[in-house]
Amino acid sequence: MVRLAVVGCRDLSEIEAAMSRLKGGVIAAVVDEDKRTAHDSAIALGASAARSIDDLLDSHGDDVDAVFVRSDPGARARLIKKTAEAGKHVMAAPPLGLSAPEAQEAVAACEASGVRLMVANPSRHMPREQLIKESLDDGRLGSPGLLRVHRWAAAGECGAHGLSLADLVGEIDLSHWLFGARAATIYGVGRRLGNPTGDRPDFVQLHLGFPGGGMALIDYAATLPPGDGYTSVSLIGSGGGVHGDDAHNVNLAYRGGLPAATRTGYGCGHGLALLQEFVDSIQEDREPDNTGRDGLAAIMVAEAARESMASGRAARLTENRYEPV
Amino acid sequence: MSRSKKFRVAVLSVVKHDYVPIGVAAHPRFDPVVVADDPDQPQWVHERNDVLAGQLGVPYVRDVDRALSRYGAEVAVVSSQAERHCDLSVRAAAAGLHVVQDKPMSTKVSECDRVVEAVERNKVKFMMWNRNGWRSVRQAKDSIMRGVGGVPYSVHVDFYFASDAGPPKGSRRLGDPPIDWEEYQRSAHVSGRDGGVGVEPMGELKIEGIYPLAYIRMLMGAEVERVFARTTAHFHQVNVDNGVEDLATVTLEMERGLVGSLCIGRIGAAGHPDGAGIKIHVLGSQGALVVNEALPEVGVGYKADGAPSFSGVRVANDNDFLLMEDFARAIDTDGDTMLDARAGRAISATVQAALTSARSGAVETVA
Repeated sequence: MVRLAVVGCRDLSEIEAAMSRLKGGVIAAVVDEDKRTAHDSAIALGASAARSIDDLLDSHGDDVDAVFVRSDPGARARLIKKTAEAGKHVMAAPPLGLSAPEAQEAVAACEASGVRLMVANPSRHMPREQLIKESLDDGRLGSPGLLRVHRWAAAGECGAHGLSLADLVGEIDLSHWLFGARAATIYGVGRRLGNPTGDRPDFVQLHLGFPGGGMALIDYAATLPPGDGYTSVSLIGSGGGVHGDDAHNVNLAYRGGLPAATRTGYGCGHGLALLQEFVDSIQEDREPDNTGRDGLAAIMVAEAARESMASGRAARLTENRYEPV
Repeated sequence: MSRSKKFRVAVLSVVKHDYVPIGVAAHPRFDPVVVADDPDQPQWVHERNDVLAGQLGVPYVRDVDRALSRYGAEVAVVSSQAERHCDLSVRAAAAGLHVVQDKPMSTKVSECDRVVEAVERNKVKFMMWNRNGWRSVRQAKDSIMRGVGGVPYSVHVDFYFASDAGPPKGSRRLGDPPIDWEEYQRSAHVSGRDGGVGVEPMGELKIEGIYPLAYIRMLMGAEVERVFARTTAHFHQVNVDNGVEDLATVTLEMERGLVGSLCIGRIGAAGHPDGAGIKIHVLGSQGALVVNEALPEVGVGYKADGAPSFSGVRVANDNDFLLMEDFARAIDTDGDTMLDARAGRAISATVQAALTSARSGAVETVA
């Protein structure tokens, strides 16, 4: 049984829902700097509580085999390093750090300590994206040609100051996973609408090219009015296509006037899938399906996209660096 | 001009699918009176022209200039090989005829410039055939005009035809000759997939790009200034053999800081469950629109040769009628057409810049 600690207890509903179905793993401890949150989460999960990673490792270190780092991106790389140096396996939400060098240090710490590092990217484990991957892997779709993603959220949902690197890496990593390669060309366009003088865009469009001719167009918006977001993901391969669109997954309710649309969601199975993959990789002594190196590659692309947005020029991968074209 | 006046129509070459002249002729104010083409065209061209003339019940004349001068035509419909489009349109405009032209406008932007000049000098109306009259597209335009979603700042169009174009990529055996472009296009006439008919090979951006780019132009009301594009021949051997794309993506940077994107391809018969996947996404300052161009559609399933077949079938299409209704209005009132020569030229220049970007790997300015 793999004994897990969760660092960062904000909105644990997906983890709580997953625990009754998780095989081979148990939440042994929770960590949150807010005492009340840590206490309530510990009660809900039947785990012990700690206020910090140091507290966890000092007081409960022998009770924990692995740590799920969910805290703010600014603290993530430091927590990964500390956890790895204590000999604990790590799963961390993307991005692994605020910059590629920071993430590189976290990855290196895990490699030096011989512990597993898994990037917990929910985009890889959603039912729609899983179906795309399965269809690619079993050959039904042929070779991937085009990935098209729209991911739109209400203004403010991605932070009050627009879209950050943390908001971009999930879909970048998804594209790497589906194409089986790192983006070779990048062009990014960003716009600031809600906050014209801010330093972050609230609309970003990424145009990626992959070795062999594959391509991806991904747009993010944090400009919708308060309420539901919208996501659409399509993958077209030489042998077929998979098209998953929130617009397809609505039912109608008639109450006079125009009918209201009610979305049928995907549930929270992806939370279980992430935890199960992490636990399985530890028990089977293998690399997880989303490694620290994968997470680092996604950050490098996001940084190149940010440069591209600033310069108005495309970038091309040359000897592990993105150079302007 | 009388709003009931009927216009006499000369069809100038109809070597590919005949939906444009048929669409024109379906409107009660447009009467075909002659089909014509140049005498030096190959026999297969004359044969196709002759077939349409028979369908329309009008004579086929192997002399364009004679047909234009003797049949009293007031409107020309041009649906020839792509590289001849502009020349026939220029000749018709010079003879004082209004022109409805099939896509693409041309294989060269310089040819489009000739049309702009001829149309404006001769004060005739010109319309590129387009799909801006589809119900969902008009609905999107109406929503934007009514302020639904606020002020639009970003638009994204997916434009996929899920059909095969000859043998799949990788099917050519060692020693086999490459597929000849014109020969293939001629053979594809039966299935109506010969949109690229002509001598010069064209990818999907050139053949079909005017449709989604016309949506974007109509919805956003802005010119495209810069593009970044990726293209590949991913599905069909004929595209591989002729060095033209069957899949492309384009980032569009427009006036007023507007942003757009286009995904376009002939993605193989298994690429989309409805045979075509055409969607428009518009982001605005206070909301968004997600538009399925295919609506309204009806699901149809049946067994064909023992195998089940399912598809969404578009119904209630009145695009053809609306295009010609609008064209008649433009003539009656000396107004603008839905997609005039300058708009067609701008779209051709956008496509050309995208193809240049795909080769250079850099962002390109639209000339």
